[in-house]
Amino acid sequence: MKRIAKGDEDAFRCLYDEFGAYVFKIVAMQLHDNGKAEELTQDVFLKIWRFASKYDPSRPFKPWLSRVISNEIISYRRAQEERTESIEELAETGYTPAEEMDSYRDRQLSDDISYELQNAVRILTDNQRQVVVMKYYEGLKIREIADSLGIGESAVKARLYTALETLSTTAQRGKNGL
Amino acid sequence: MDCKKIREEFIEYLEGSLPKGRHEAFEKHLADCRECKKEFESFKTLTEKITKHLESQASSLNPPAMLWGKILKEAQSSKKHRKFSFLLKPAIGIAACLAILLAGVFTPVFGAEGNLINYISSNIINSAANDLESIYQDEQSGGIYKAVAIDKAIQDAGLTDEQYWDLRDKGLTDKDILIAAYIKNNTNTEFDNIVGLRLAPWGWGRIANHLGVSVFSVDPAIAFPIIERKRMILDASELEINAEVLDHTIVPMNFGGPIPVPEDTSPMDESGNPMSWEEVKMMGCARMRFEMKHGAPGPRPIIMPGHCPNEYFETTGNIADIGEGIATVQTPQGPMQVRFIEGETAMMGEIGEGMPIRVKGLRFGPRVIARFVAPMDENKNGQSQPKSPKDGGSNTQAPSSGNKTGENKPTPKSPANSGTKDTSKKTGTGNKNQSGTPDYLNSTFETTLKNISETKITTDVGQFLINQNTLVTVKFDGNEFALHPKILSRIAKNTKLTVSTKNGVSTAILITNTGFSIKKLWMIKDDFRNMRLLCVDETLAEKIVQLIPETLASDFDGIQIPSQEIFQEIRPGNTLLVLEYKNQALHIAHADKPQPPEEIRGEISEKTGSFIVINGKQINIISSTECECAGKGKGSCSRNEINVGDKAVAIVFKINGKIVATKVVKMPKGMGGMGMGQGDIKKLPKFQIESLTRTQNGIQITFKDGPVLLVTPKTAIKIIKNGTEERPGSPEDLKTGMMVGVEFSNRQAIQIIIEP
Repeated sequence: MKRIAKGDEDAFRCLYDEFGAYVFKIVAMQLHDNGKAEELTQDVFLKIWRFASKYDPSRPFKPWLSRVISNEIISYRRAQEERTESIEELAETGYTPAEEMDSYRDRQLSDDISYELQNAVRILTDNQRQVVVMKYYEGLKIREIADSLGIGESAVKARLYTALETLSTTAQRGKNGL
Repeated sequence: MDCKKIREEFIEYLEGSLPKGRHEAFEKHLADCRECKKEFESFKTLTEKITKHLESQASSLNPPAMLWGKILKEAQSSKKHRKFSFLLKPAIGIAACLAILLAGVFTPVFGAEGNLINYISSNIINSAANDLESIYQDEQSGGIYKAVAIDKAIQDAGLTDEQYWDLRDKGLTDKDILIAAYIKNNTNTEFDNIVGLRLAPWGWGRIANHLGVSVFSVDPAIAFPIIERKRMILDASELEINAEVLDHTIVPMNFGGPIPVPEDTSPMDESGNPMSWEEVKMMGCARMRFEMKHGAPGPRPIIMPGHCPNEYFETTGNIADIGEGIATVQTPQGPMQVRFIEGETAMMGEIGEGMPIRVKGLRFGPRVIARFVAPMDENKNGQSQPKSPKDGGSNTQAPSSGNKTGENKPTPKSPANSGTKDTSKKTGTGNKNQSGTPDYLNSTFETTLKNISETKITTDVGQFLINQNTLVTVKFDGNEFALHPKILSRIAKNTKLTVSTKNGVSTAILITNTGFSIKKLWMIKDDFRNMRLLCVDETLAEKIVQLIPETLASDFDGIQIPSQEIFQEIRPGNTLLVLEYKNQALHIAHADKPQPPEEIRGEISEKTGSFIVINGKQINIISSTECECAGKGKGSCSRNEINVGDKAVAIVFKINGKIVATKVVKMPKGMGGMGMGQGDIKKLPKFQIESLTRTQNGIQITFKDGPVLLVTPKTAIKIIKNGTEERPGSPEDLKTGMMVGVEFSNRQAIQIIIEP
């Protein structure tokens, strides 16, 4: 990052080789739009290029990168006039999130659940999907997610639990053909 | 601690962020409370499934290849902007206002050019090219002008005729090819790169500026040479073109349109003897020199042997249909229209539908005109050989040429040509036909490459098919490397070859000199990842070599490995032999024996994004490090699931003194210090080796009453002596009948302990 801050294009290329696909995947999973993901990946790397000097090398890189990605996604969403489907809107079309998750054990998920899970991930709200991807794809800890998003740890946990409830319930409904 | 509180801590527990006291209390509660334990197990299963789902979804998402180029371009422009921003600041306000004013007027005009500067450059380049194109209008002289201009452009660009027609098929016009050739000459850019940008589609101004021709020099660099070309053509006293000769029509080799030739045109040969059009037609492909008078071709073109080295072909097929003067022959290349030349095809009366025949002819761009045919049994019966101008028969020379030396025979020669001019050397003991010349369709011979593609090879003795059974090898430093057919097009012209053929299909092609470079003793530095190898060698500090899908690797311990599996065999620190071409690895192999892996077992005491610590040793984790949860199979764990406190086995190598993990296996809890000392190693389940079989991916061990496992270079093999003394072993130490301790996962042996 020090070399990038000095304008070293080779170092920048190395960083892209290491994290380019990673950033693209995260953005694409959150936006479900590869075209937009390409644009935002570009924006993320340009931010890194411009603000590499702001990076504190004593701190781990990935959470910092995650914060840059999150900021870009948040900015993009703010710029969108049309809000993506929310769980509330989908409820009107037949999807109803569980009011509460009584027990996970009654909803043992089978190996062929990926299809249902895929649908379930799609109906999460933007905020929920964001923390799910950060937690279970990026592998960030709750504290790191909170730092990246600028919210409290309890808010991250609340979003995560709600998302997991929704995923579990919706996936199970899909599997049962409900 | 109540159940509700416990359930709120599931996430923190799994990510290992609970404080120590809480962590213990959590585990104690789970041990005592069956409900919470079940709840926790279900929660864990759900999160694992989500992780797996997201990883699988991510694996199908990949950024487009050109994304890096876009980022770099933007970054560079922002760098320039940063550099000069202090100068620009006062002007920004004015520029912004102008931009707003101009945007509405000019933006749509820029189109593929992108901006005003490119647009200006484009106008200069295109106006020059249009100016040249304007001389193409007149029917005969225009056609000749165009053929000459395009011919020169093709030469400048170093294109083969096939490549030229490929570009035409892609939608490029002759004008495009002409401009691309001039840009190539002025920028030293690969022609393919220029064409790629044009097809993007970029405007010519944008391409020129992008490749380093500034708007201020685009006129002298690109436009002026094009204008100069026009002047040279118009001022020339004579022009030459290669063309197929039809009835009072010629078709230039690199220009699709036929050019009518006035009937009163009287051709003559190089010696000045008059020729009839019939005689010219017999030559098939002729080089025609037109004397230019007042900007138009004169009435007496000089005819010379044509120069169509890439166009000759020879194949076999069955006659599907015979019409008047034309037969349709079903060949391996598809149906081919074969034209009979009256008086030339001796076998006319003997040819019937369904008969297998040999076809020799010329290919003009996309058009195929086979001129000479003979039955398949021509070699058995010299009497039945067709007498054609190319076959050295009584009428092989133009009657009026007066040239008895054969110097004006049309080239290229047929394989059955007289041997006196045949520079190719037959090396094998293959067949000869009755005239004593080698039968190039069924023998081994040395020749020179003219052109090669995935499906056929053109040499100085003819054209041969390449199929999936053709073994193409390159000889380098005494070693032979197999090449994938897809990379054949990269082999340079005039390369010396040894070709073996059977029925006209090449069975083996050995390349004895190439334009490839080979890099020896490359060491995988510290990383290798999908489709890339990051290497160091003696001269380069560091280099990324792209592993292309066509890469064929072999010699990995004598085992051929498909390219997609190469990464299972390469590990950091390996020294490789890399056949490289333009930063692409065409072939890779171990230059030395791969280093045997070692392993470090114990509890993870520290973890960061780039390393873990086990037994006080720092083990670097790189992008290719594979993580696994024991017993769950390859890739069953993400690295985030392996945390401080976990017991793990790291399979490692040393690179420049640093320990780098190729694999980290998280051991399940409750395995009682698995791998923590020799006493535990002995606890590995023991099996007797029933058989050992070498396979493509390693050695397969079949155990008596046990599993069938694969031993790969990653498998740790240890020999225990006197109960405690340990030394590393190798697959050669494994013998049938031996009892060994085995740790395995997903049909692969992780560790084998031999206790003699």
